[in-house]
Amino acid sequence: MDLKKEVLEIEGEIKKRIRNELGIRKRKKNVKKKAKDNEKMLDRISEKQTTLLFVPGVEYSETIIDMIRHLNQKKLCYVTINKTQESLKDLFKRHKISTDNIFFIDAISESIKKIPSQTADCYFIKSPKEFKEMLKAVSKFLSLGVDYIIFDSLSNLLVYEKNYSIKKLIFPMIKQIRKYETKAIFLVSVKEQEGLIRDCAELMDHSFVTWERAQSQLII
Amino acid sequence: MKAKMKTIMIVDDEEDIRTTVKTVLEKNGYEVITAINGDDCLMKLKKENPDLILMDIMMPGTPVKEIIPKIKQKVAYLSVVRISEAEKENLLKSKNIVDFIQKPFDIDELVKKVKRILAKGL
Repeated sequence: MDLKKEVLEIEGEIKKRIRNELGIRKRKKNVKKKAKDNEKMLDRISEKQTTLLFVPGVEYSETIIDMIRHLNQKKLCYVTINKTQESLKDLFKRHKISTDNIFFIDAISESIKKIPSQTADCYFIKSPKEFKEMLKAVSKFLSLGVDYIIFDSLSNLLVYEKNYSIKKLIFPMIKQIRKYETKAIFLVSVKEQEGLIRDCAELMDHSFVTWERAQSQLII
Repeated sequence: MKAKMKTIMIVDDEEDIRTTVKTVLEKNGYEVITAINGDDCLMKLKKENPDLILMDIMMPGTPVKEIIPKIKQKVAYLSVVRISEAEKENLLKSKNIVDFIQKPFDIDELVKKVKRILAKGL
């Protein structure tokens, strides 16, 4: 191989490594920036009693982790209708987040495995469609004086019930929450396309993104 | 001699999933039957004998954990809900559960998995 060719190959390899390194740094920077943004958002959320939180599908797990880490000193009641309690505990454990202050209402596990009706830190509901039971469980935790109810998620409820039926659960739940000092965060997962749209928007010369404006109005 | 066409049953309460998966599997040379939930699946199994059942883990009607013991065919779960690795392992311990496929899935990946499961004759 002649010298010129060899130099070009080495040069190409160096450029490739630099690009990779820059890519890794950029990704790390993005993760840090996202965590900071989430911190700011969570500070704002803590000023209000009830919050509807729209989360892009691609950032869903990260947002939950940041949120639970942020609220870790508080007593939480986590209502899950898209993951089992066990998988949530696994997720938090992997991120070194203690679950000592978290009580769960799990509407998934009962459908897939044999479990008792409740354990020391979890109340199991037969299915996400059992609204009465879910409301009863939430009321119980409210009366026990939890600081936050995390409802994960309203968008998943749509898999099981129609809009009008969901209102039958959420209206009385909000009413119950307002009787107490407890704060509540209702998560809504925005479809996966949100991520794609954001990525494409970065490539365009100009694009209107109403998301930021929407986000500022979501904290009610 | 022409080989017998393999039959797959899709059990899912979401019509979109049933239609999409059915179309793709049929294009790949499978015969496909569908059921809208576990109870419908049991009813159809009285007449049909699919080589594989792709079943959503969370559906209205009788819970899937009560349907599975009544089925002798191979079942691969389709799941929109997230479960832990230990829970997954436990589910796969049932003799006829052959796979656990997380939704949303890549349709080509699903076809590959189906082909692998049926080729293995698990």
